[in-house]
Amino acid sequence: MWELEPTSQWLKDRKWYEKKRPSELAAVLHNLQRYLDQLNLAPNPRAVQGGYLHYEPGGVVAVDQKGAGGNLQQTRLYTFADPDSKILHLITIGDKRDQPSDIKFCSDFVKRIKNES
Amino acid sequence: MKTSLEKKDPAKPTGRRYASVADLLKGEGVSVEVGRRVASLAAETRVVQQLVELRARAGLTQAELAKKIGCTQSRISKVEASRDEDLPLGVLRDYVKATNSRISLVCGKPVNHVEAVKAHAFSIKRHLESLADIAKKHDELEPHIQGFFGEAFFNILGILSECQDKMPKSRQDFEMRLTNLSQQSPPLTKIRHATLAGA
Repeated sequence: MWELEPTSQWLKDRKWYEKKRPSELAAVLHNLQRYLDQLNLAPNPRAVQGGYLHYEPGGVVAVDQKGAGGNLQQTRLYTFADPDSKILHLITIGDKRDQPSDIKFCSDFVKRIKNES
Repeated sequence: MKTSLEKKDPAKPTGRRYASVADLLKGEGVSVEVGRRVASLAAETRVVQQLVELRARAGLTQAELAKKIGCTQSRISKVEASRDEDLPLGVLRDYVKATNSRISLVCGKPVNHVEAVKAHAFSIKRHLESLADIAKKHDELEPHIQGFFGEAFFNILGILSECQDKMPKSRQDFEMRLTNLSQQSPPLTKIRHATLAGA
């Protein structure tokens, strides 16, 4: 079974979103559970599909806020599904504006994780 | 205007692991309000999630399922991103047909354990009566159905007995209740003897 593991950055972001954008946080967390459910059924992480998932460079997968309805800000919860440890790393949360720098931030994290293992 | 946190330090794994988002929220002390919103969203997409699971268990991609159903992959993607209230019933039929599986829907207030046991008991009765009708019409099947009746009888008693053993007050109390019931209803005496003989 896959497990979720937050990073130090995700914990900070979570606090900020909880205070400033709780609806967006709830929406991405809901989709995160859907992603986790699918990971537990799929033969490999790449086989998981969903309109709320975005496969970014370097193995980073962004979970967005889609499906929650309402007029929510575009939000991305960046993850990395490590197939060896079956850990879904929760790297950071960001908005559309910071997308390029967030992807770079997450790719660096994934590189470090891969080098360590 | 600042729209989110600046990310100065590299992200580090915390080593804290959770099996579900609910566990994560609890373990990391996320506010009750956010937890309530997540639960509310989950409640609005229960059926849709079952459809996604059907496809995943069948080992089909969205494109493969779309081909089987005869629609586009983007249509499947849209269905799986929708809410239950927007789901046409025809979609349920398409999914169960394409994945060769079944789906059960219960609407209204949740069924409690006692109601569920009663519903299953009536369902078993109905199916056994149908089997008895088949046995009446087809002599060659009668011994097989009779054999199944015997098997079902002992399996059901076995299940009851096993669950009874898990009760705080054990077998002695159960046997006393059966004795009382058998005095009110003669056929139960036979069941009691069968249970005691099998124990």
